[in-house]
Amino acid sequence: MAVGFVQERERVIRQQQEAIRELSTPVLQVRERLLILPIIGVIDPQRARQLTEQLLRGIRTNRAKVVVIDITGVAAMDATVANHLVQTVEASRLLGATVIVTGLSPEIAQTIVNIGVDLGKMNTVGDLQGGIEQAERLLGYKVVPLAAVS
Amino acid sequence: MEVPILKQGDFLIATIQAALTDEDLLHLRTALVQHVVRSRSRGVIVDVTSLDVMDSFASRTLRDLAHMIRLRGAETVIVGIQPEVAFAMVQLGLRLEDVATALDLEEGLAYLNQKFKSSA
Repeated sequence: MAVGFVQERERVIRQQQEAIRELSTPVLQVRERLLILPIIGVIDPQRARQLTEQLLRGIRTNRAKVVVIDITGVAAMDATVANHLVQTVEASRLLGATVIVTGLSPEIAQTIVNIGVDLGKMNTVGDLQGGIEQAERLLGYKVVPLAAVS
Repeated sequence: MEVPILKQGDFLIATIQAALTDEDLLHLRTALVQHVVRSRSRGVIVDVTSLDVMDSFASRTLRDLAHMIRLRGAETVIVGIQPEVAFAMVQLGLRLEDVATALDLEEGLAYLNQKFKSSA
């Protein structure tokens, strides 16, 4: 009886964890061929792996050329996850997409420098707005106020 | 298995259709490097869509191929790397440094056209 209760509770927790994971990593298309991936909260290795899978699949299905990964909402990450982020950037390049990482906190910047990543390959911009602007430039878009056109 | 090399305008297209042995890969490399000057091509596309495994030898051969073709005066694009393959590759440290990559054949052609339009 007690065992059944515990098992049931475990199952519910697992299900909820699954649901949180599903919700936690949206890959969104902002423009034709431009995806953004906002990451909020703590990233553990499992979530990092899931993020990568979803992103790479998203690049394929949306035929994305540029991806903006926004990590403003991530306060810190350990070396394993930082390394994983760098690998994700590399893997996206192999699929022909350019990745722009935005919103790196000072702590994460320090982690990345400490693990000794070649920053030449990482495309980073201070905030999400700047990242999207740069992505638009790469895709050949130019956004101007309507008043300037007419 | 022999990989067919097709000429399409200014470009050569080699589509790998099944898993290749190391020998086949070297053969493909030699054939492409010879062919590129003989046919006066400006770009080479290697399509690896059907490969679901890319080992270190294959990835090194592709990288060398791209570098050799650059020395022969043309540009190489590797297209169609599968998402799972891409991630496995970077985990193994196979990064295809300095080699252009694109999503599929169409994107590869667009990349080369763009490249030669801007340099012309």
